Amino acid sequence: MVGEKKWLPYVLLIPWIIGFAVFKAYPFVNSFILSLYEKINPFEQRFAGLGNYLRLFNSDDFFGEPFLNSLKVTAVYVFFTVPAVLTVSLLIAYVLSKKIKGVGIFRTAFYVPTVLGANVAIVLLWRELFQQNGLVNQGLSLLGIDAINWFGTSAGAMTAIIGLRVWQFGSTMLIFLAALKNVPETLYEAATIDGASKLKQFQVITIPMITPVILFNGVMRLVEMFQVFTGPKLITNGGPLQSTRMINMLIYEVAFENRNFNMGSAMSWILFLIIMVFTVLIFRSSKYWVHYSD
Amino acid sequence: MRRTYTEAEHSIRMNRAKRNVISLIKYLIIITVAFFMLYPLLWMMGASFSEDLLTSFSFLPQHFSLSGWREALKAPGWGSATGYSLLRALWNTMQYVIPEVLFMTFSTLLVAYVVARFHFKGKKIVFALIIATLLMPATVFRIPMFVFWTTEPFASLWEGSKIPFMPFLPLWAGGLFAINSFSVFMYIQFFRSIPRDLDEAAYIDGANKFQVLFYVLIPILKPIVITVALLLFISSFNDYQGPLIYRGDTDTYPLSLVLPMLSKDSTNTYAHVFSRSIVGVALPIIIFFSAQKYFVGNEADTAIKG
Repeated sequence: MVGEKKWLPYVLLIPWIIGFAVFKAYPFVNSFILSLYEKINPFEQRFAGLGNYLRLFNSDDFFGEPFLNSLKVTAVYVFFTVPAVLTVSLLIAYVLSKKIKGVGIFRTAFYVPTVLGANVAIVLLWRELFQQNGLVNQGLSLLGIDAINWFGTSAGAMTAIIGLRVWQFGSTMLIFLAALKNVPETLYEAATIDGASKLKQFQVITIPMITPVILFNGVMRLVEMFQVFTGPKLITNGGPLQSTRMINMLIYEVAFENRNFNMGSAMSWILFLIIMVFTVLIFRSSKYWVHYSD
Repeated sequence: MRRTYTEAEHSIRMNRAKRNVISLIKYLIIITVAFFMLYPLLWMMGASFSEDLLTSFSFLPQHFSLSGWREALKAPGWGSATGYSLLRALWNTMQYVIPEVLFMTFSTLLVAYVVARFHFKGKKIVFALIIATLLMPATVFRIPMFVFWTTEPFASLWEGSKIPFMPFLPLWAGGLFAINSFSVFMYIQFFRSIPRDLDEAAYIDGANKFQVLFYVLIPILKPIVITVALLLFISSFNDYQGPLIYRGDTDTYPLSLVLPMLSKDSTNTYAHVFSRSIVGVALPIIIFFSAQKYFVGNEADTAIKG
């Protein structure tokens, strides 16, 4: 552009620059600094180097014991929810991408839980559904299955919490649906002429064509799931026996209930590093399985 | 001749049968899934009209009763011993949802416009920082931000403030500064999908950068602006951890803090709990359905472009 003012973009970006500095850069650096100090009492802290981190990896420590447990529990949650959400949403998106009557109604129906799912009211509903005489056990009894004590066992409690998240596959589904619509119809036609079955077509055309979107969805969900909070906090509050006490819940308890910002920051940083390692690994691996068509 | 004809006919018939089976399976899958998606919500509706807990799989109450709804609509008090008013809680929620949605929708739009349509030194760095913060877990920012907001001079801006919206400042202040990287990212992807020729044509007609944004681009971007606003509304309305951390006096408690305190006990029946829950989710549902024609699908189209 002729006569474009060179300073204009910078002026327009001033709010973002302030926001980045105050809400991202400052807390990022400061949480690391906080994590290097040790809380002595509410008014004093002293430099501890990596002392907090060492404590967190010591299973006999007051903080290390619940922290290592929360790492394990969160890993289980992530390990099940990410693949489950991706699989269910891809399957449904695939079915919806084919010519189907009432596609709009189904798309909306599948999205409603996503609009509501994180809402406290629905989380509380979920807790009632899995009670001893709740809807889930009523449904199972219709199938001739005995009532399950969902919140009495660690596996049951974890299943209820995972179920709540998988139930909200809507936004992942919509992203897959848009990607599937962009797969050229001619590829399927050619494959049909060559006699490839639907399943084969799904494997060799659909999946490779949408790998960039699988990558996007996978990374976004992974970052999200590692930070799960509302569901386990309100449904089980970590129980039974800490078996659903996720990292983010522990950080909340340590930092905001017990006001130990130092230990809470150290935990946050470990969580951050774990997420970063996973993200980097996924992006590194992407050159072996992600296909970019253009 | 005759043989080949029947063979062809046979194969057509087979194909048709096969296609019918496949489409039957398709409908079976999505109807089953739709059932799992919606039945819990239907059941909640039924339970809110029931005198006692629904003890069968059916969502129809055995003993129909309006007592839950009658008490739920009473304000203040809502039939609970603790005396919270759900309407006040709803208003408290709106005091951070409204500014957050309003500011964030437009501040991120402006940032995305600058990154997508201006040429300037450092543009690549800005874009890289937006992507990097998109993937950074919010958890790592939370503790220092709490220290920030509870230290002077910022603490007195919101703590115990009597000015509307201000007690919730920490929950919406980021909206003024376009800190939601996901919104920025969505807008940028959408800007990139609009041909620059449109901008150029307007420049030739003598428009400046702002006129191009307001008169050329925003009308095209209307669905995505509505989508971003709706997504921000949903996440802000449903937020639980934020209000929990920055909670003040009990009369500033939003819905997400009040509802968990009013669970089933001696004074609250299930009808009370569920009718309140329905009031609690009514607003997102109404807004979702009214904006839906712009929304469903667009979020997705955006995310994959580029």
